[in-house]
Amino acid sequence: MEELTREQLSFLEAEGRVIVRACPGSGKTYSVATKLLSYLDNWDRYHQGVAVLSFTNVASEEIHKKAYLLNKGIGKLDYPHYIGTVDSFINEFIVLRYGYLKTHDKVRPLIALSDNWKLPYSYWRKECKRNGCVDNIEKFHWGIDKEFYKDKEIVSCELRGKSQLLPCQQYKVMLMKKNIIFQNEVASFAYRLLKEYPMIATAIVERFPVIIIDEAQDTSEEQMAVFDLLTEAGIKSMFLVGDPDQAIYEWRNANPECFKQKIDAESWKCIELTGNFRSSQHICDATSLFSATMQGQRTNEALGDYKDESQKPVLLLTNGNTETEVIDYFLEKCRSMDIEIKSDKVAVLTRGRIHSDTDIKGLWKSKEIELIAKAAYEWKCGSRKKAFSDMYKASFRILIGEETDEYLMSKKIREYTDEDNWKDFIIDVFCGLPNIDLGIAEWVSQLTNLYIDVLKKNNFQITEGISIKDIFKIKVRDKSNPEFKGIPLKNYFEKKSSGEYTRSSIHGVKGETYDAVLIYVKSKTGNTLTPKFLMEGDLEDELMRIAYVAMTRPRRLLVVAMPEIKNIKEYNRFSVDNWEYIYL
Amino acid sequence: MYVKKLTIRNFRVFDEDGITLQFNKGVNAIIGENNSGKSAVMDAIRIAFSTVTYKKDIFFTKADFHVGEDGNAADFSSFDIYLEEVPIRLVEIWNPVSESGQGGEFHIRFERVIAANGLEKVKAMHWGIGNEGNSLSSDTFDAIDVMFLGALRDSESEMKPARNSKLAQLLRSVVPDEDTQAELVEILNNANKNLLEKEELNQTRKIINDNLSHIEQDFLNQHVDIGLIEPRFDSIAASLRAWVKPKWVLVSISDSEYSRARQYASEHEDNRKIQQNENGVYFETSILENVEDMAQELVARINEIASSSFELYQNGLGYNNLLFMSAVLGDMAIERGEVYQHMLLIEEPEAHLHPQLQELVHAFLSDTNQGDANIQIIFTSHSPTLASKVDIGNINLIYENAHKKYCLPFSEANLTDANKEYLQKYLDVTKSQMFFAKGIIFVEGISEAILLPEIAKILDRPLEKYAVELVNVDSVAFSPFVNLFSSQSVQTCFSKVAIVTDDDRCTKKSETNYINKDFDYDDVNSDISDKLLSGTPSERCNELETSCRAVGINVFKATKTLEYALCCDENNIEYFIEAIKSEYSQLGPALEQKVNGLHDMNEKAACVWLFIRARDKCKGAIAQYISQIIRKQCEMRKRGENIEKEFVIPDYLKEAVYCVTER
Repeated sequence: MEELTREQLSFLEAEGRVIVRACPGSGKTYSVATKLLSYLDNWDRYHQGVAVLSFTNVASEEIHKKAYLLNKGIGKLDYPHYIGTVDSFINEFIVLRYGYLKTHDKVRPLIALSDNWKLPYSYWRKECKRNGCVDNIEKFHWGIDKEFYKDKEIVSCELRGKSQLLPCQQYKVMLMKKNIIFQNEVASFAYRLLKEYPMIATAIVERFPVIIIDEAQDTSEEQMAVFDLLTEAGIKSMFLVGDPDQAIYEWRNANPECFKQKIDAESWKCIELTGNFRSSQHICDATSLFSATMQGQRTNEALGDYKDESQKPVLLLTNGNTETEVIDYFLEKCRSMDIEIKSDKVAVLTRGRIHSDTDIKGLWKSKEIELIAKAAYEWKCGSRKKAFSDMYKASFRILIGEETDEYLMSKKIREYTDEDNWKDFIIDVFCGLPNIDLGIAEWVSQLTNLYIDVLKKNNFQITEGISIKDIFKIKVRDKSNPEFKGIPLKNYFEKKSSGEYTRSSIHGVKGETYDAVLIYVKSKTGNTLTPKFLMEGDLEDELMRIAYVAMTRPRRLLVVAMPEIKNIKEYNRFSVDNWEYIYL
Repeated sequence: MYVKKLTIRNFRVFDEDGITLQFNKGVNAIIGENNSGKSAVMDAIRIAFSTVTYKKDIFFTKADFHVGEDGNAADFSSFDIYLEEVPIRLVEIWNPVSESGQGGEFHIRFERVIAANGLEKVKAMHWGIGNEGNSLSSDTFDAIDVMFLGALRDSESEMKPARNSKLAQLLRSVVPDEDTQAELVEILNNANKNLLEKEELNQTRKIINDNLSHIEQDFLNQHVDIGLIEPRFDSIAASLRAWVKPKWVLVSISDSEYSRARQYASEHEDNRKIQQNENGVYFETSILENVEDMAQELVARINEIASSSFELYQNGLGYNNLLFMSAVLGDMAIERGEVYQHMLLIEEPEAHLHPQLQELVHAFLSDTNQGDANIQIIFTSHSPTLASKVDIGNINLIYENAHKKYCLPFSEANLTDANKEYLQKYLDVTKSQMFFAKGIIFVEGISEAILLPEIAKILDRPLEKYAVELVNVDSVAFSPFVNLFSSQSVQTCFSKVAIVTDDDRCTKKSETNYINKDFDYDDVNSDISDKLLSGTPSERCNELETSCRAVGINVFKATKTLEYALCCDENNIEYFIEAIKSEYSQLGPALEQKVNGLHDMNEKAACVWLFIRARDKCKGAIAQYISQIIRKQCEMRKRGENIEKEFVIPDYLKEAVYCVTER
């Protein structure tokens, strides 16, 4: 085992309510895994365990893998312990299990992603339709403060007539009478449930006396409220591990403020992991100026193998150069530093899509075709599990009806056919899928033929009046990119490609490490990463945190490429002390 | 944690409405007549607790779906299990809104599905608290340890040395830590080593290995080692055996230690563990546990003789059963952190045990539950001895009524505390037999108890043949029994329950029909017979009828009393006078004369009744006499002989017998 720093040791020994601020490269996953194992090695409780929660399946698998390796493969990680995502924890242990206490018919709640039911309701107002509320009912929910929200905004429309409820609220009540809740209100539902039945919180902390939440900066306010209730229910230890500077999931309702408040709260003990095992001291120094929380503080100390790397971060100023020229410069620089050009060593990062020409608005004409296209991509390039699940959902929608939770869906499938037949059918579709390198229009037409054939072969009936050709439809023309139909299907989904080197969006490399990273800022304008934003943008802005995440990935070489702009050297963030200037 | 309630639907003999059993902590009994479904309940519990676990010794099969009387099989079966004292950490089954706050439940359901290839399959579903779909994992069932001792258990083979023998399991529980296990292995290693120091053993091994290498020609180049058993902990556990030490050891006259033994015996004449006779001195082996003043040589010798012991198969079946149960319970009593509930299911614990031992077994089972050992025992039984010992509230009675199986948990019966106390005292071995009967007749006294079996025979409905139990309550305290068979959940427990009682008219002083208590036979007059004719049943009798009607128990009442009702017939009255004459040589003829002087049939009957009322003690003897008459007439009828004066059975008694013997 590697030797632990003093900071890491204090985390290892801590108990109670603990907040751990972990800077980039501080060995967070390693520390969490070590902490978990420190419990497991001497665990003497039965039917009680440690829960380690992250925000994505990938992250929780990472922890599992790390703990498994450190543990030399002994199967201690199973029951009574739990390694999973925050969402699955709240779903499994609170909402699905005890939700029946609060649903209208006292049944298991149906958790849905969107309104598949479209209940008949005739009291919508004009503005409800105009503002898109009618089609986005899944964005509405009652928050933990009992206010009614659309996304993060409190709904402020006025009541009319005698009605005590707004149309959206009435519609929501209708859904609740059908025991439907949406994924984005699961946390507030869980919160209300625990408030009403405090014994459930007691039971959960009895079951999990220790909870460790990784990437805790990504918790939403409502999720944090749920964990606060658990903490208050007498948990032995609650650990929130994260870095507010790396909160880049606001679109998923993450609110780093919850995490920051706890750093300052007296009832929480704060531990900081400031040693950076990843990057060189030069990179630590240069990137610290892009972090909101490190202003006025000492920069993180480089502790890793490359802490003494002499190469400063490179600011590559372009002047009408092509993408290829920029990348070639970067790769050449890597070679000069003896960095092998391999996908796990070298990465080129952009904000958003890596194929910028594939941003076609309203491309998919149905949810079903989008799901199948995604499934096809995942089948070839990603997770087959995800692929299966998407294909399953899409086919369910086509043949049976609105998708609900897994349990009910499999019940309905049994009514429709046999579960084995259903699986065979889906596998048949996968086996015949057209090549994802085909242009998207051609791909869809081949898919349509295939799907109809496979239906016939399996003797599956489709509801009368519905035709597969109507469901499998994409946009006919697009002004901004008339050639979009010829772009390979693959390009529409690729967020990360691992060829000679990795090409990815910044979100796609969160938590990863490379020897060399190029951050490619293409344009001077727009509501995205621009030179101006990097130079003087608000550090509290999420976009800045996205930049920070990107810049803290490399061990040895950080290159930021952007169009040349005047007076750049005068900005503290790109001082010549920290950056080597190159004009291409 | 323990099972509080269990509902079984569509499983074997139980239909869709199913049955619900109630249990308590400690020892519970399931009783009922043969084929009532007791074993099905046991299997249901076993299936319910093993469906989710990896280890299963019982499976649900297609044949387990209930088949109705119309031949149609149900397409689902379900088991709902409700628990109490559930630790809240068992979140899959704990119920956050139970009354006690510690309730829990889980549900198992089997469905018949038709697979694509047209074959029938059984699909198992299970969920914990809440609704279908809530996960229920095998981990939760680690908290529950269920052990089953079947009716046809083969105690001998279960106790024989084997990898999974009860003794092996017990040893594994006693020695869970690896260090001690290693110690045991070390002891065995040394023993093996010591053995091999013997040249003969070494030679044996050499012969084997030589031959082996000769056969395989160094191809495999393997060698064998020999010893007692292979030095592994599992092998030690698997080789354990139990035997019974002899109770007494004889140091015979010819024994080298005889003189020392005799001397010791004479020094301890008052010790009952030592006996002498012409063969020598007998020592009870338990004496060795506490002998400081005994010479070492003698101790050694007694031990030596004692060790020439019995093998298990030399014990009786009953004793092996006890041994088996004690090994199992011993294993359960050892604390294992992850286990919150031990459940022992025993089919017919009385098997091969005589009644006194059965009582001891019950006492043992109850004692096991004292203290912290959280062991719930549920047994099925045909033993009135056991049934009479278990707390009345811990009994579930399974019975059939109108082609349906029902369960009456006595904990749900409408019993008052006084009722319970009465029944607990009253339900002795004989009376507990009613739980295993198909029909019950309750009677209030000795006369009915003697006469009814004979009457049943002459009606060609012998009670034994119809498995009817006759219970003499010896008073009119029928209400505890009526309450026992009534509960909110069960409307009719036994349709074949009858109460035969007197209507006791004309006994209330305030009524005009009151007949003076001090009257004797010669006080008889037409006033009395008129009163008897026009009188109405006593309040006590009416109340009984009302409470019985509510639960479907039939009450059959005699006009006034049994004797009066029987004597309301010219033929019968003659037999009665004969009976009385055989008991009362002087008063008898006087009664006869009085009766002969009367003309009205009712008056005659009243006269005999008054005679018997004043001489209560003679009832039994008269009943005996009458019963012999009936028996004789019955035999004559069978032989086809003519009966001159046929004894006439009053309608209410006929009806009572027909009621409990209906097919």
